[in-house]
Amino acid sequence: MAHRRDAGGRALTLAVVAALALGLTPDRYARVASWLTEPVAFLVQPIAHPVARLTRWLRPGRDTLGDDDPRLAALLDERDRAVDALRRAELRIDRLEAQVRDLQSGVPVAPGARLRQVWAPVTSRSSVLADGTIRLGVGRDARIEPGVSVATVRGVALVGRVVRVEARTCWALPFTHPRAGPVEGVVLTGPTLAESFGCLLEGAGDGTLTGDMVGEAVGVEPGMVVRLRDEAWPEIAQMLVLGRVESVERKENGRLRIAVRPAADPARVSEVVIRVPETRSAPAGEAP
Amino acid sequence: MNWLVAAIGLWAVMGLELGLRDGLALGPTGAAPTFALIYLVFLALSAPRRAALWAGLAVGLALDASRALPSADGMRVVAAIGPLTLGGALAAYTTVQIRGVLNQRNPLTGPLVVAVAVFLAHLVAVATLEMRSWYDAALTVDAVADLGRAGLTAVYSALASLVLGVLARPILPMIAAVHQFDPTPSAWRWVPFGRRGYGPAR
Repeated sequence: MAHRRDAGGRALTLAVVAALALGLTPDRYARVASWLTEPVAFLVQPIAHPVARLTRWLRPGRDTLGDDDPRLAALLDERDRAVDALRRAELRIDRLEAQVRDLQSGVPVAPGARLRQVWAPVTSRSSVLADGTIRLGVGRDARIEPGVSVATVRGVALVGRVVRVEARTCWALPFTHPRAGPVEGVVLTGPTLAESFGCLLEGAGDGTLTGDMVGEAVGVEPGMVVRLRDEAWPEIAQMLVLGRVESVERKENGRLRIAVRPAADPARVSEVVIRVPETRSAPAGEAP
Repeated sequence: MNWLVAAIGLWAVMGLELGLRDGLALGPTGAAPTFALIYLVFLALSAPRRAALWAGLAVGLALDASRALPSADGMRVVAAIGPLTLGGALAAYTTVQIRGVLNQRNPLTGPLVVAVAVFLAHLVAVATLEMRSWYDAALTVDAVADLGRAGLTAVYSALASLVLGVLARPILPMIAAVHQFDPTPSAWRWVPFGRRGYGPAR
């Protein structure tokens, strides 16, 4: 009996030591973590997801993209997608012009990128809320790729970057999270991309973004749309809506400082559209 | 200890933990009640010492495995198995150590133990990650902010446990039937392992 008790005590001590060793193991050696997270997710998600849906039904999130009237919302969606396509086309023209210049100087050019969109429910968040990460209900089975895939609201507004992919789920880090780093955007003051001014935004920690306008920006006003234009983000995320300018103030050095309210609160989003790049050479005669 | 019933209980509270916290979060602070650790305290208040410690490890492991800690550059998720596992073990150990001197008929006893246990669990987790961040470049920890958040989480969890205790009263006789614990009028006097009262050392 005493022997069994000692064995139990040793097993407990070993378990605590193993937990300490795992907790202190640097990330590059801690592959065992993925063996544990996926089975736990498999067990817990079936109950966590319905509870999360119920929570969001009771306390729904609001975005600034649509309207309560479904017909008007559909029209607004269509308009947003058309504007998104236009902005991307303008950006593509800018890039092609730059590529022409690069080719003329001998710099290699990246092949054209295509994308596919995958709908995914937001099933839960990290067990430590401050981590900010949200779990999405698709994974390797839907050929989601980490680092280069982005989560969006209706394919129009950016939510965040996919940072980890598991068998049936993946994790996204909202772009508003301070750990996502600064993000470059453009404030559109007119109907074309030529009438835009750059800005460098950072998560303020309260769900909004703040930052300075780059250069001498004029005509920037609250309510204007801010779009992503950041080389650190994948091609497929460029020109997605970040949010709207909430306030503008002039600093002592004359620069404008803006606060941006994201188009959708990542903590309240119940479903997303994941944009996944499909990189291949465009066939002749087909626009990439 | 009936591990099957305890495991089903853990499964249910993990559902609440991951599903409800969004809706209950205190604005942008990131503080929300932690149902899994409240459940752990309830188990540790009445379970045999060793069973309570194993339960602490299991609850902490479930929390760690459901966590996605972004890396310093925000481009990926770093592995974080261990910090809350150790924290859960310490929370269970502390509860077991102090339960003998507690007046468990006082409805505020449970919430107070929850506050202490939750804060200790997060303190250990933050300390472990902080230590690791000294040599692991993938990790950055804002220990002061994390500890402030842990304090808020502890207080919020204590308040939530008070409400849960009241809500749990009507279903205590039903749980008692399958779990052999004493459906005493005090919601905090849980004896889920078939023994009444507490011995001096278990």
